[in-house]
Amino acid sequence: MKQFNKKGVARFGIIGCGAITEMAYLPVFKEFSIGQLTCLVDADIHRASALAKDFDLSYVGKNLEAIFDYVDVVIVAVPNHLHFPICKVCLKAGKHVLCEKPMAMNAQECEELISLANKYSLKLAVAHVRRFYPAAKKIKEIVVSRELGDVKSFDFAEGTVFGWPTVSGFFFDKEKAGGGVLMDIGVHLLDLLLWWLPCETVHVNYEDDNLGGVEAFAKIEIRFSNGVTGKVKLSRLSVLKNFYILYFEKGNIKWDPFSPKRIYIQKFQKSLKTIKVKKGNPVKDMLSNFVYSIQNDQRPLVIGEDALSAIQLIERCYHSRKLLPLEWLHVGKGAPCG
Amino acid sequence: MWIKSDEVLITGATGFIGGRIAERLWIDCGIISRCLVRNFSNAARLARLPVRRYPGDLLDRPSVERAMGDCKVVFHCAYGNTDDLHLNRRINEEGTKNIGEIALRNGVKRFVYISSVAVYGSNQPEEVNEKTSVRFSDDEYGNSKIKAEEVCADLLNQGLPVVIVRPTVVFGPFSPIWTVGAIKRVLIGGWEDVEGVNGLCNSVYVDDLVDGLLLSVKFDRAVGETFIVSGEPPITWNEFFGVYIQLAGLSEPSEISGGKRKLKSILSNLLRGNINLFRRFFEPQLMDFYLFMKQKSPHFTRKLDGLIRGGIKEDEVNRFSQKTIYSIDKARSTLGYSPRSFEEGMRITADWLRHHEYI
Repeated sequence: MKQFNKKGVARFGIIGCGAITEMAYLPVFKEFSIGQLTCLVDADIHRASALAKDFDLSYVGKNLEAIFDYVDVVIVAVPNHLHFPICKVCLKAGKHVLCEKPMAMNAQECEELISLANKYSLKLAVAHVRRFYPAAKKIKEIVVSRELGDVKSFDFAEGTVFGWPTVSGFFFDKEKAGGGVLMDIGVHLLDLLLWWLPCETVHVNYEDDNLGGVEAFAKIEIRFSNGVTGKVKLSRLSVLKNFYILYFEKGNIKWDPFSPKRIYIQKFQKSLKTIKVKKGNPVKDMLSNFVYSIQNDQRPLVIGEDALSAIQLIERCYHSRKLLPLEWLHVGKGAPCG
Repeated sequence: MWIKSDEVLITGATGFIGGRIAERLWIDCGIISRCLVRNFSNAARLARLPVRRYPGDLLDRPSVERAMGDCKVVFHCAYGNTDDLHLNRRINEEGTKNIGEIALRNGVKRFVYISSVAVYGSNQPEEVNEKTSVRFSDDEYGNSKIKAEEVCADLLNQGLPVVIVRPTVVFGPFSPIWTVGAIKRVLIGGWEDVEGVNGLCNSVYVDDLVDGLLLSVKFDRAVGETFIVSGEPPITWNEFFGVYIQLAGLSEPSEISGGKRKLKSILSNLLRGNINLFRRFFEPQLMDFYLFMKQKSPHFTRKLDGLIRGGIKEDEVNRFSQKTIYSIDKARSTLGYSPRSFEEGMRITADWLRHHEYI
């Protein structure tokens, strides 16, 4: 087993002090026995200093290279377009990397990071945190056990009015985000889908409402090589039904990602059954899984190759993109332009 | 005058009306707008467009100056809608003054201020036109719009080519109150047919309003003028909400007396008070139970929501009883404004509601 230091505690540095760092990672490090936060890096030194106030850190500042003497693991939580260059620097410096989702802006960048991690024998994990929801694990068990038979189709919808307290606003900049709701929420959803139903995608039909910026509403139809077909609907503009439904041979299961403690199982000709799972602490579990995988040289739950699959599917969607037929967008009587 | 890319600044572009102006300018003629954005969390709709977003705030003059650039046209839609009344007043008055003065200094050719018919106060005559006097009332929003219009009048006197547009009830895609709010309201039984409460609803489809705003830029004769922009003819509030009730697949509510409405309103207030008290101590448990019941019995949770929200509230009775008709004659004759029918607007709105799974 790899020992990080005398105390056996992994030293973490976080690059990027946006909302995800403040709301997801820092609360975990306040009471994390197997990992210690030692460095915070952000281009905005005031923001980094403000977030550092509850921690005793070795480095708080703008300089990425300055942290490498103080860390074993780096969490990369910067705007999407910086994932690739920053992960690259960290891997080259010999650090294990946990990268926020999406892993990179495209498949090529993902592949380069994966080979870099392999070359230096480092762990590269991606923060597809939903795999750590107890309910997501339970659904995986149900699929694998085939207690409801084979999956025949799926219908996933996730939408809510965007309210993430974005600090930089990069989500809405195509060059920095790489896409809209598909890249942001869709990458979570598609990762779960591909984890639950690991199969080659043979057909994709994709439509969204992007008019030259980034999409806020998207629809996907997918067919896998094993014949499973399904629909995905995503929105940043409205509250959708918000259910992930898997239709099996002998029934179906329904899960609400915003109420993740319950899974609804409907076996044919039987009454609705509810499985209640623990809420858990998915971010803490993800960090623990990463530390454990480094210590024991095991595979983290979500590795670069997993994230690559989701990015490849997203790329396929964007390449086959069509504009949603939205009548209300085109009913004006004409603006006074020359 | 004609509008060109990068020469239009929209405030409130992350909101309902400003967002639609930006969409229309891009979709109709490929104009890229400049948008002053105070809160990026609200920018999902706007971000679908190739607009230029400038972080800033009406109360921060340097940020407004950056956003203004070489603009020739300003659509000023932003208004204070925070919980802080004092701040709202500052945004509406001082903020309008800030952007107006910067526009004046930069030689802006048209400054369109989106006001509201709320400036006419709570007890309005049966027919209202642009000559009808504005009146302060107990409506903070209307009062604030009057103050902002006064700022605009000062700016006009200083030479800024101002146009004031006063829309009525604006509905259509993304309308937070009169479409999203209205459908949510009827879905939980929040609209009721109350004896004696059946005033007129002067509504306008959002694209008709945007047409009016764009026309006020097109014609120089609009400068210095105020226009009421509404659809026509007005319908009753029962008819307005009736369409949403129909879209939601619900049956029309039966008529209740004023006394019964009052009693229901008192009960819902009591219920709301008690629930808020419980929430202080048992928020997670209550939410868990609510979400569970929502899945098990959506009908039950809808009823519960309806009981908590109540029907027509005390402070809404006056609004929904007024029989005012807003004249759009001036907008018609001066701008060539010509709104579509209510039915056509609602047909498009229904399509949007279905797309976003509200119905």
